[in-house]
Amino acid sequence: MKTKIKELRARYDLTQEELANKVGVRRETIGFLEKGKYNPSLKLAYKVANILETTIDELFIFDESDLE
Amino acid sequence: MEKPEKYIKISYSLGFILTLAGVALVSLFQGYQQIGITLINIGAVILLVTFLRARRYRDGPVKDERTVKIGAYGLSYSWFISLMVIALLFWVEELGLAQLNVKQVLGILMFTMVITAKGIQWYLFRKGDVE
Repeated sequence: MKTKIKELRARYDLTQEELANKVGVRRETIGFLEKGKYNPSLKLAYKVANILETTIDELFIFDESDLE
Repeated sequence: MEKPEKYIKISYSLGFILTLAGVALVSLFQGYQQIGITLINIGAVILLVTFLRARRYRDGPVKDERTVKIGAYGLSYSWFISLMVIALLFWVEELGLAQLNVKQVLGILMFTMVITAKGIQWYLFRKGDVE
């Protein structure tokens, strides 16, 4: 799974810590999300997308292999 | 932010209650010294761990969905390994390979449960997710 979180976070000039506080998770969770190592719940994905003013399907990019 | 604060408050309260109960047992009742000292120690450890966690995560939540998920998976795997250890201990006793008393079995199980739960959680936290 790839994400555009880092890119969009930079656009809004937010640090991982600031985004984590806005979403209500630990900073490490944002780090793992950015690296594509953590599959978030729909609720968390929605919260992140909402704060970064985008949609879930634009924020998270799945390969076919991720869906197997 | 509501949940972590609640968690910290509950942990502090539990630590204080156990410590106070321990102090009361030691100072007011004869013959309960060992239990009292154990309660004081447990209370002190809870207070210290809570203080360190609250300080480490003062700007954000102590728990989130990822840490809760990893915590739960760690405990599940640990439970399964402990079950395997119980089965192993049964056969060790049954086949006469070793004579174990209750204290030894409980000691082995407590050690297995704590070490495997913490070990698996540590591994999953480094990995980032349970998948």
